[in-house]
Amino acid sequence: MAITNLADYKSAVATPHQGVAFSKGTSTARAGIWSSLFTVAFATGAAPGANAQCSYSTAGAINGYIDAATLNILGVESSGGFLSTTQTGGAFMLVDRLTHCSGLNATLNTEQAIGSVSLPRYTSGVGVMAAIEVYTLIGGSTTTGTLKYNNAAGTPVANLVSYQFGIGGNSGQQAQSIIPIGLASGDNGVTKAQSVTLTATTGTAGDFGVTLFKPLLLLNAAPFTDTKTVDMIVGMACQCAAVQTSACLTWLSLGYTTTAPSITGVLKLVEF
Amino acid sequence: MGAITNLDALALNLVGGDTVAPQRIWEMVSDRIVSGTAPTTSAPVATLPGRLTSLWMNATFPAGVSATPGAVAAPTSATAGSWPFTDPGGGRKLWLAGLSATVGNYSASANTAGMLILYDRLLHISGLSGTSTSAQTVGGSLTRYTDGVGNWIMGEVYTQIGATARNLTCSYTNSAASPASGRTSMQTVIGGTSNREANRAFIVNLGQGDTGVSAVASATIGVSTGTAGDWGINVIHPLCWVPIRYPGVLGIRDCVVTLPPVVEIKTGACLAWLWLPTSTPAPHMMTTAVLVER
Repeated sequence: MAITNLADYKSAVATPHQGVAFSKGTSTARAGIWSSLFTVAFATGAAPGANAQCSYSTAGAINGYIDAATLNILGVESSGGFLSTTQTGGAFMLVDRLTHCSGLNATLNTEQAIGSVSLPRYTSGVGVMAAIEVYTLIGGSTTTGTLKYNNAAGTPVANLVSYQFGIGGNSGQQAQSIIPIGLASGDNGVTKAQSVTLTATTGTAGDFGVTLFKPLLLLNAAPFTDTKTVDMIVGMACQCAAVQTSACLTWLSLGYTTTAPSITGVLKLVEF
Repeated sequence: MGAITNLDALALNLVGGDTVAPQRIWEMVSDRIVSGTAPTTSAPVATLPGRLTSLWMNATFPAGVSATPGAVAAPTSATAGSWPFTDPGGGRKLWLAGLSATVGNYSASANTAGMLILYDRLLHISGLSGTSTSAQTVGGSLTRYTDGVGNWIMGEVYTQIGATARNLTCSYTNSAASPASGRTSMQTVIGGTSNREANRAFIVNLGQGDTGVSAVASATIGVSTGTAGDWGINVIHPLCWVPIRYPGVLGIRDCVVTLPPVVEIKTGACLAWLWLPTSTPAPHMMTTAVLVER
């Protein structure tokens, strides 16, 4: 379907090629901190263990659509409760999860290596973010850490060190906390995560890892009793995310309070 | 050329059917402050309700600053700290069609509401002293909005200055059709509690009748604040406001179906952020923008 004008666009939004239903139940939430819904039911993912690529087939991905050519998200529609939360307000981010690992120890202040895995998509690394993801509760002592990584240069440079991020305690302790990382000067993406080094112990080993992802959409949440339909031109501030073949689509949620959010709805996918 | 003429043109461009596909850029601005030697960051300074906070020194993705501005310079899109994008070509212009942003906090695990302000950072300098009583030279030359119309003077603190509040004035050239130099700004408070902490920003009000600034010659405190610290003067051009109406809620700035309408992003613009909070948690921001080239 070619979209050449507003009428074509409206028609595409009204009758998209595919509608992908998604639903995520309760999760652990902390006010002000992004949570990964990857390990949350439904379509439940698991702590990955060794560093690995993510795909459409990875448990935890939104994959109720035909994974053919590149698709584009033109809108998100209510179906009796779009982006429902149990409290007023909240934000969600749809990402393409590219690589992930777990098994890192939050009591160690030595360098913890991450197995080498290449990006399966967005292979240039431009725009690929790195984040710490907590799978099992870590300690309450806030410390800092750095990520050693390969950047997104034409010929990626290895052994670069990120700026310090906070971890543990109020800076991300609970399972599902996800902590985005600021890169070293001049870098605009990550092609590989190499290792993590914490400055000090958080107090509890727990389980955490590094996730590389490409952000796709930022969306608002509606109260549970409200319904909402948004599209690229009305309500999504012109966002139109391209979903690459074999994408591992997952949600992040921004904690409004400690009340766990839930999210249901339909992504409207169009090929063009 | 250089305009979004109607919604048909917009729809065509957004789906990639126009001459150049739209740019969809992302930025994460953490609440940790770049300080000292890389990779060191420090915990954020608490913001103050109603006081502007500059996010220039925050650790970011894509990578941000590694140091304070130093000598006077006219930053561009290539300057570390600028939100990067690709300049338009072929005589076309770049337009901000939409902006979405969230604000959280990883140091206190809290949410806050407020206003994000996207601006083009036209000129900056640091290394000014909070104890110097003489006119401190700013200088430099603008490379965008050179006529000065709509440009503001903004002070910014990089290292805490003194506990005694003083009056700051700037000597500047205005934006009149025949620009007048040697204009004196209104007095602005600098130093003292709430106006001395790192990352504080404050707008210096212009002299009566002036609506813009094309150059800043100097900044004068007149009496010491008590601590030299490190502060500077910027010339900025505000572009877009994104309200975060409730804590934890996504702020959306739809430049197509709401007013004010689409904003031009100048070639070489140094895009940066200010935060006007309603409470104290320092902002951790995630944002995306759609830039249309026509």
